[in-house]
Amino acid sequence: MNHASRRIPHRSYDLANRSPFLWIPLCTTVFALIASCGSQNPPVITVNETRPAPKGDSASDPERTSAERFGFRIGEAAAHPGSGPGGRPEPTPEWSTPAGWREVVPTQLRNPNFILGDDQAAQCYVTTLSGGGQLININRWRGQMGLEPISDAELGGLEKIDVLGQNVALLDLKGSYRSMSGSPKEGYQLIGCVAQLADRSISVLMVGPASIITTHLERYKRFCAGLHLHGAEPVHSHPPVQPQVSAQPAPATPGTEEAALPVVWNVPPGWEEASPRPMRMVSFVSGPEKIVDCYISIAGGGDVANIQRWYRQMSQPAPSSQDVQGLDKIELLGHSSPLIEIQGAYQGMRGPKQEGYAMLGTFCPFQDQALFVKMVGPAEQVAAQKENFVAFCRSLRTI
Amino acid sequence: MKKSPLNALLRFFSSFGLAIVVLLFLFLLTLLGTLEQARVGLYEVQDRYFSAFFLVHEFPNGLKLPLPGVYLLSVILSINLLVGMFVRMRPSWAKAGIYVIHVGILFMLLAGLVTHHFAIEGQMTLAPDQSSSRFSSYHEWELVVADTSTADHNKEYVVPEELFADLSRGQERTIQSGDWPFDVVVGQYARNGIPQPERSAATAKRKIVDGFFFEKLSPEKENERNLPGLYLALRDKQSGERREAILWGGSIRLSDHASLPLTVEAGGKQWDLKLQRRTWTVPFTLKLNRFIRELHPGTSMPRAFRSDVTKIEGETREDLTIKMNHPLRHKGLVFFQASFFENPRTGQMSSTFAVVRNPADQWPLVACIIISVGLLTQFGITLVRYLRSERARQAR
Repeated sequence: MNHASRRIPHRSYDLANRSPFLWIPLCTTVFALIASCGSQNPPVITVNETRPAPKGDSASDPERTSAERFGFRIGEAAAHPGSGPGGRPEPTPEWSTPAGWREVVPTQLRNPNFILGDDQAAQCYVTTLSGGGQLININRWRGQMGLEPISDAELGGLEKIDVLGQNVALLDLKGSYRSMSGSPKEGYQLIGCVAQLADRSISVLMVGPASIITTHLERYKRFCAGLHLHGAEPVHSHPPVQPQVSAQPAPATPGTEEAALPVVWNVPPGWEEASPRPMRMVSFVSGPEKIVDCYISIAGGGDVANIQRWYRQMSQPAPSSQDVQGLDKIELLGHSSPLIEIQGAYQGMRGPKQEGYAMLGTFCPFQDQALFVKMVGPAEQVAAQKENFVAFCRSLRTI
Repeated sequence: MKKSPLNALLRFFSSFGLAIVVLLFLFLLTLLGTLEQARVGLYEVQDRYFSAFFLVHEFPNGLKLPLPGVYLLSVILSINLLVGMFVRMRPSWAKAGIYVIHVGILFMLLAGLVTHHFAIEGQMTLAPDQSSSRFSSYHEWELVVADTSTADHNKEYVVPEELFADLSRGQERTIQSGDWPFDVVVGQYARNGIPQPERSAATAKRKIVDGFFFEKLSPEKENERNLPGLYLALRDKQSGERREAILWGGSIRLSDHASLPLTVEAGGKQWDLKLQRRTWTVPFTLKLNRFIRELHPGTSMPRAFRSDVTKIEGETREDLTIKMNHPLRHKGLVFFQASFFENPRTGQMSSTFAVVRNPADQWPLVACIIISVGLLTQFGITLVRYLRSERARQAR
């Protein structure tokens, strides 16, 4: 840019150049008027943009509720009696959401699940686990905060809080928090308590930046006091159950989302991970129409009881435990597990009975429960996927 | 030059003073925008400082300073260059290089203008053996209405976000199509929010629909994380009956381009409605064969990413490799190797491509070449003139 020219006469630097305060507002006004001339949307708009719809992507379901669309499966367990351990209805938590808490999509290990205020770093959630126990959970949380485990005697010295009809220890820790993923987060606060019921432990954990968590402590206590289980057997207050724990720090497997997946696997070719479903760790679909359903779940209730339920789902008479023991074996998490193959009419939790179906399944002990791998679909498609199913089971490994 | 208002205007727009003021403002806005980015995020700063005609910058002490936006300054700078080129500079071969440089800079600014108004940018994520001919925006959203009553349904009606993004609480707008048996009345759009069950404590004065209300949240600094939502009502064209619903961008996703829709039955057909990231189709299909990530030895630091893909166009299949600094350019689209995703459960690696359709894609390169030619020309002219004058001096 060479505007400098000795040939430009001096007179060109006249009023216009010496008075930018005259021109700048004038030009600015002109540009502002041009900019503001942008079209306002009319009250009625006619759609004129269309495009081809992706094939096979439709998920239409006129019966789908808002809760299902948003991931809040309200009352789902209650709607499917028999889904709980031992065939009992699964008790569902009920609560009153404190002001300033926002309920977000529940997951297998976070139900209910909240963010506190607008800051998604501050969270509170309820986790229901079979087994576990107060001291195990509390020492696991201490491990996440970089602290040594405490003994049962020290547990008794903590502040107490009422939750689910029990008066239990309240853990309140500040410091560096490390979740399963990511780097340690400084300036965090963790507040948690655990109620030990007859067949499960229920923990309420609140964690996030200390500046936020501190302001929510009273709301946390009120939330715990108001929490109850719908459909559960009456809870009788009793001293904390003493679990069998070693003196070693508990592994850093928090009651976070990552803890829902204590195993990893290799996905066979052609399998696609499906959207999350309740009671399942992970689901896959396979086959040409993607209707062969395979999933992993962890449940109590006894291996034989669950397998007998599978036979009932396939409209077949239930086998005895001796029959199960006589089945072919495959390797699953280091165990030699029976490979169950059932053919018949499949009746799932919902939908009509489907003829010509087949089911593959296996299981092994896992933690205090059992891990199940199950595949259901049209018989010929399941047969085609049997090799992948076995490979998938063999690929499972703990982390 | 006579002292007419037009000449005065031309002199003002061709003046050095204006150029210097504009450049100083651009420097100031770059500085303030960079500082503000730490507080409100990149997208917000780009929108507020660089795409705007005017803005008000607020300092940490609360002091507010009105400023021209970069868009306005760029327009003024372009006018300044253009007018300066014709008003200030007399035509002369000795200044040919300077003319060319001016043209190059103007072309660069024009490239920015075209990019700002006409470029689209998004991403396509593919798992191994997965293929797609669609990519979705990072920032823009759309309301989609689709007739799904037949298995071979093949048409989606798309309502871009800008047609309803201005609807705050209490405002409504009707969207219609001659093909629909209903009108869609949308309102209460929020750029970020979350559906809350009716049981939540904060239900007072909330509009409850099917057990939920939509709660507006403060926008995230990373705009990609914002999940918008709106209230809508389907008004039957014949009966006038209304069915209300909430649409949320965070509804469970089935795949990269599909989420669980609201399904309604009307006019003897089944319709899906959903709020999703703005999606565009490309005139070919891309299939990921495999994604390769190389790490620096002994570390988890990536050294290189590479995606082996197949471009499928009708019956034609072409195997290609997309890697860092080696994008795929085809039919006005550019696919860059942007990132990857490792499923923590399965270990499966998916590849993410940044997809850009920009009519001015190569214009900055052309502008740089023009400017380089201009500089070389001008330096050459000056050198020749100097050598001639030296030779003449020595001859004397």
